[in-house]
Amino acid sequence: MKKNIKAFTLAEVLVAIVIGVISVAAAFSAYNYYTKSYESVSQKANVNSAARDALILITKDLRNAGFIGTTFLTASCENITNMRDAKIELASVSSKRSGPYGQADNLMLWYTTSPQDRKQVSYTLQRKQNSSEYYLARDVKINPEGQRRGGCQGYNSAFNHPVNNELLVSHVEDFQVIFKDKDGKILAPACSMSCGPEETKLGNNNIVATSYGNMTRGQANQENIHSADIYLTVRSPKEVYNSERSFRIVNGEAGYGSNISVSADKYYRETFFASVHTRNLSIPQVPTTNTAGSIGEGQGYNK
Amino acid sequence: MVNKNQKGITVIEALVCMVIIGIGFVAMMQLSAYSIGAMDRSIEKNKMNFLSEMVLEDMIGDPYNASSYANVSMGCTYSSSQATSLPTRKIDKWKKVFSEDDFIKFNSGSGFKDKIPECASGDLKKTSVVSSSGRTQAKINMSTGQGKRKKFLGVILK
Amino acid sequence: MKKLNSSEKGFALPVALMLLVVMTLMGAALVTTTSSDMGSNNERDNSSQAFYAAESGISMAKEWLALQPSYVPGSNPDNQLRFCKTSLFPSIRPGQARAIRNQGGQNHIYRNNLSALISASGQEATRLSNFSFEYFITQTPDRNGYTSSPQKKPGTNNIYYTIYSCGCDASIANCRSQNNNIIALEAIVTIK
Repeated sequence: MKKNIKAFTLAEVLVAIVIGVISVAAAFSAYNYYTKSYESVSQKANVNSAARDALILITKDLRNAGFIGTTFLTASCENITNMRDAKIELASVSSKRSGPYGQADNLMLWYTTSPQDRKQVSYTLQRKQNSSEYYLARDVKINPEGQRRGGCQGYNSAFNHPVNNELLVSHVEDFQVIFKDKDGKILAPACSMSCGPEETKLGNNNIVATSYGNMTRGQANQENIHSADIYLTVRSPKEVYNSERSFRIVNGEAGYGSNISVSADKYYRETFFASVHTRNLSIPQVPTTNTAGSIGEGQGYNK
Repeated sequence: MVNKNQKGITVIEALVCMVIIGIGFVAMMQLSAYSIGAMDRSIEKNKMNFLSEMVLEDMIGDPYNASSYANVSMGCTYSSSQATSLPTRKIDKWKKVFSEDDFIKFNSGSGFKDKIPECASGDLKKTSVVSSSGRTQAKINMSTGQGKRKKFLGVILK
Repeated sequence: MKKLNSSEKGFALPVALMLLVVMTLMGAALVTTTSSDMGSNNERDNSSQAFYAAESGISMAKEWLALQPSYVPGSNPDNQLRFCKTSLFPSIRPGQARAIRNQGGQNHIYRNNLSALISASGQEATRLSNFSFEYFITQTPDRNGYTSSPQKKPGTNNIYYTIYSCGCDASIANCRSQNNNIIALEAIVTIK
């Protein structure tokens, strides 16, 4: 008698179900692992490229900071008579810090871009409305002062002209800038106006103690900046790790960096570091042995 | 003559297919494991790019003492030393930053640990400064991954 | 008409096949992400070395300037420059650059590959031979961009000179403004 080939025995069905379930479970767990690793790689790539682009801009700006073209004073309409006005300003005293943990620095610098124009760039941590995520913003203004010298008719549309407000990096945890003088010692604070009561509080031995004359210590320090260290800590947009971990972010020497404790979560965080010789702010190195003639730098580099 | 059942799949066929697909999955998992490693190395390389610029920038800031910065080798670990002059302070800073001391620490259950950058004992991170007839050149040479990944930057200081 | 036997043994295979296809696509995306990140790293590295090539040009220019007994403006160097054209520098009025002459009366323009100036061997030398710089020097332009009259540092008799130097991530023979990364720097110096 012929068997009915269209039906299945119970054993066959059971074996088929078991094999089917196991193979699908294996496939889905492989897919799960795969998706997690894809997510982690793409988050890290995001962090890496955002930090790279930001640091490229910051280092370029710091190399140009303080460049004053030889014709700027006479050709500009701004009422800047004293070049001791802010060439660079670092708000790193505690009353002016910002960011998600209240410890990030704010950096502002300027340099001239033409005989009559001055470009001011500031880097601050800001957050969007209704959000707790901070991002590193780069604001560019042309001719920020807005005070024209008497008799100077031109360029009125160029004053206080915000050019760009760019979101450089999102999910920034910390941004630290530390200036050092020509002997490698830390210079803090550095501001054009008075930095506030913190100036007298910072009695650390590392601070350059020069005689200030009519300047505040912050102003005196501006004149001695030779190099700048930059720390940027970025967080991944989405969670990456499988298990929670807590972080402590130090970013620099104690007292000048930060002291951030992040409670346990699964985000990926990385600190990127760059250091620049601030060519236009530093005291030019004059040789002590003469060659055929010695060259003293009048100003420095641009671009 | 064997009566082939054209309406179904034999068990052997099914098993062979599953083996082949299994090999495919294994290959994909290896790919993802490799990508994770490659991404971590890429992040380290990115940081190294900025650190090697730091070395050249510091030398550019002190071009008349360039010989003090010659033949400095960054190790894998950092121990602070008394730095009393500009070159020794800068070199101390380089070593500290290359080993990411004072950057970020994490605790995944067993106490806070420093995030240690990838560094094997055969890795090379070395500066070199050559002066001849008044002209000084500076270079930094780095090689990681047992010499498989190299990096090099050079400049004429003065 | 043959009907596919929709046995329960078969449903795992199409599902697994679909997953495999999806994972292959994601794998391709993964490889693309990783390799483009590494590519950005290399690009950054190259533009970094091109920047230092431009700075090396400035150091060489300073060396040359220190040895000259006199500084005489010559003519517009644009036709003699390969990639460091005067149009890269907005402080110079178009066509008004007057390059300082060398002792033979020619506009002084200097270009070289880094490998010729920085001693290196093996892979380093090959890498350095793919970076070069070119520079020219003028009297610092006045507020309208003219370089024929000297500008002096206020309160002194020192004339300002500007070194215009460009670094390229290709050798002198291969550098093309359209294809290569060109970093342009200017440095203002006075000579005591």
